[in-house]
Amino acid sequence: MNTNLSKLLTIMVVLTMLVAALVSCTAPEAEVIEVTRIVEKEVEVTKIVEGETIIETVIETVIETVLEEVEVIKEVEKVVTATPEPVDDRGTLRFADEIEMGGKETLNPPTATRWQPPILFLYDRLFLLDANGELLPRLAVSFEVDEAAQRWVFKLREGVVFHDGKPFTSADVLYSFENIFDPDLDSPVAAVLDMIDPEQIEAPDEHTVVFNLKSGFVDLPMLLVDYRMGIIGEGSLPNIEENPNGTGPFKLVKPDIYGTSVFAAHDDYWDGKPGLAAIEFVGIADAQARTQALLSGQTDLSFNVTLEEAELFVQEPGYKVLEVVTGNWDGIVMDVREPPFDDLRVRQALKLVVDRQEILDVVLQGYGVMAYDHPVWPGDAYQLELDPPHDVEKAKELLAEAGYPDGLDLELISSPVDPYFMPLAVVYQQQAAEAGINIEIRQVPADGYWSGELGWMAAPFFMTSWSQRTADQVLNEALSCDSLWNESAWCNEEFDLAIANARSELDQAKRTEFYQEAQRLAAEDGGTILPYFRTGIWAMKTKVKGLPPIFYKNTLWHEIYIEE
Amino acid sequence: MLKYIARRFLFSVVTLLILSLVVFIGVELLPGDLATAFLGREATPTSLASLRAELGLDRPVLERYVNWLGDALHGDLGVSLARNRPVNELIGVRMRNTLLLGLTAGFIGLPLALALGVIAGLTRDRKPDIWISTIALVLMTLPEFVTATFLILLFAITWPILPAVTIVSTGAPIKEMLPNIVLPVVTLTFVMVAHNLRMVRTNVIDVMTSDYVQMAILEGVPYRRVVLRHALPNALLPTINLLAMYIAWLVGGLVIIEQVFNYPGIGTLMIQAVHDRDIPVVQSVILLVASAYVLLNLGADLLTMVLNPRLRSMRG
Repeated sequence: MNTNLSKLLTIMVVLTMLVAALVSCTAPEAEVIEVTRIVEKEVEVTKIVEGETIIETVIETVIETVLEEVEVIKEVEKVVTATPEPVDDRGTLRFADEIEMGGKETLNPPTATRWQPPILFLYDRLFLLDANGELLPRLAVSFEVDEAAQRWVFKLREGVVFHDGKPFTSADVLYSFENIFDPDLDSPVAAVLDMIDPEQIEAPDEHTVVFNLKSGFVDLPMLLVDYRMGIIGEGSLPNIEENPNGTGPFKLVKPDIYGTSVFAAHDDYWDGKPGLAAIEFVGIADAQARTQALLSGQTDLSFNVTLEEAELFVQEPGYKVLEVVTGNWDGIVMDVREPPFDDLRVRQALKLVVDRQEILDVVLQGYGVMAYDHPVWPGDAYQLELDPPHDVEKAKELLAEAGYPDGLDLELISSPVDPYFMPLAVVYQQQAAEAGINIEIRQVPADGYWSGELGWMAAPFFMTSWSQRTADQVLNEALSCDSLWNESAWCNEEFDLAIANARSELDQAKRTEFYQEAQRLAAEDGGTILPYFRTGIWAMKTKVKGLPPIFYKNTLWHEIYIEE
Repeated sequence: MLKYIARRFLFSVVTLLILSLVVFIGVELLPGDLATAFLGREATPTSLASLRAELGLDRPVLERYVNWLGDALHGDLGVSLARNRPVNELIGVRMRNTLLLGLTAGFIGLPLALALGVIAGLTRDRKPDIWISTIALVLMTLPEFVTATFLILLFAITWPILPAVTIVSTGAPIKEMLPNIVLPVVTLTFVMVAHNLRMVRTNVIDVMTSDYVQMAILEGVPYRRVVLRHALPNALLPTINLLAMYIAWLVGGLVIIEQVFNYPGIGTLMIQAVHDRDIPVVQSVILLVASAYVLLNLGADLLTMVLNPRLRSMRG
């Protein structure tokens, strides 16, 4: 018996040794991490150095370990200079988000795999938008444009310094745009800025930059608001992952995509000393785990709370919930080339059956604003407000005229890939049934819904969702004839003309008219049923201050502070 | 005997080979690939084609499989497609984290399961047994994520003494990992103790009602001696297999628990890798888990054979 039990013990011991072996295998990784830990130890060590005469042997061993880890010493120096000597009484903001690129994140802003929240506070852009959707000058202070809207002269801000102390000049802007248009980088931003001639960007002096466009484009500054157009310091690209050099209010201390990354205040920030000493950004892939981290106080803020969770934070003392109107929308797309959607009367009937208020209440539980079958959101100065009727009888009439007096059978492709798709599809199914339209919902797997084999843009009737874009961008990308993402294949020459006219019209009022004409055409004739814009829900500790509910990519990070 | 071992070993290798092929084909059959997963809605036929060419996804499935297998046999698990890093490096430190979690749970859970199982078995249908069995039944029925969420609510939110989820970096020193493993370990222990103690209990009851134990009791052998000397060694022998199964389950089955606690182990890595169709990572993790499973089973069988005189005499 004893031998048997001792054998059992032996297995356990062997397994322990296996673990130990594995642990030692992975030692190199652990070493890199230990680097920052040693900072505290270093402080103790210097104390011992002061009392040199007391114990000589101790000092010797300390020196030995230091010599072994040369890299560690360098790292220590960096950290020490990064944080100011007197203890900072400004708070630290900790927040979590998904690991969007699964670990492939990079700090080069225009890259497809850009590491999203950090690039927002490491770098500044030329312009931002304020709460009213107006341009807010940042690294650019003003601009002049010629009659044809082709030659844009931007004056740059003076007295701005990079994280490494270098002053900001037009050379940095040239460098950043060279990067954006670098063919090897294959940046998606390059397509957004395709009216800019990359060869024709000039810097006449240290604080002026001139963009020459291939064709007139009136809203160029609006495009430069894009969060991927952060200005990087000249020559910073080779070391951008370890040492990103921006002018933003926070600088990188320790990157860790899967864990906690640390960013310290850039106290020489041109727009005032940041209200926080540091930002700690945590990568948590699982949404529920993020909520638990916020509830348990491991983080202070979440920019991405679901409808179900919102109530949880409303009721929890010590937390507040902010609602932010966004341009994110979901919709139902009809391919206008396919019968019965090629008949305008059918499209109109399918829009007339929509009870928008009911959809807002049921699908979004009120966290949204009404939309009018065109994709320009309420925060956009060009938005056209319409009053789309909800008229079941009229819908029936139109269907009868179109040759469907006994109703219509349709198959709608939906998917759990987006949490709003199924609720929206089901509510719409019920509403359409009132007009004798029999919709069968076919649910396809979330995996591969967007890849076009069965799902998005691979059926005549399917669900879609879009994130916020400016009026010009979304009208072009979603609805113009030759856009790759024209989901409904709707092609209206009047619409395309209106957009082209708007793009070269310098007069604000006339430009608005053109854009609104385009929206009206999309709403009346287009193939997309677009019932609402979603409201973003942020949950945070009440101690987080200075964070107004505007589009989060336009947040002024240096204004955030913590007040217990 | 040696022949038997050799045959078992060969059989294990074949099992692993078949398994790796099945996994490869399985991932291949999922709708979409890395290129579509990565590009999402920005995908255009040209960008898809160029990304596929860049990643080597345009080559035939069989060719990719053979290449991967060849490298894997040399200990090189390839480079993660979605993460731009060697798979060995990705797996290494996460394996450490997973083992840290699993083995801690094992060292606490198994002795506990053995002890409680023996107590329950020896006091069959009396108070201690009824209490132990009932609680075990409740814990068995609750899925891990429910237990986990309940524990988080209790010890991280209502009474915040432990971290709800892990936010230290993947490669953090073990010392820093320790506070983070408490809740996952308790969750795991609950589930495993509940399952295992019932198995031990059944074994103990079987042996205690067997003829030779009854005989020994009738012969007047002291109860203590009957239990320790005759009943337990026989009742616990199957636990070796249990142990092997348990360790194998730990290595792979931690997926849910790691996900709930955002614990940076191979379970979370695998979920992410499946999500973005990172075949080399999925392959490697599954192969690793399967190897552990097969080898531990083999080891357990051999050990049982060594310890059990009846099996030892068997000729293979």
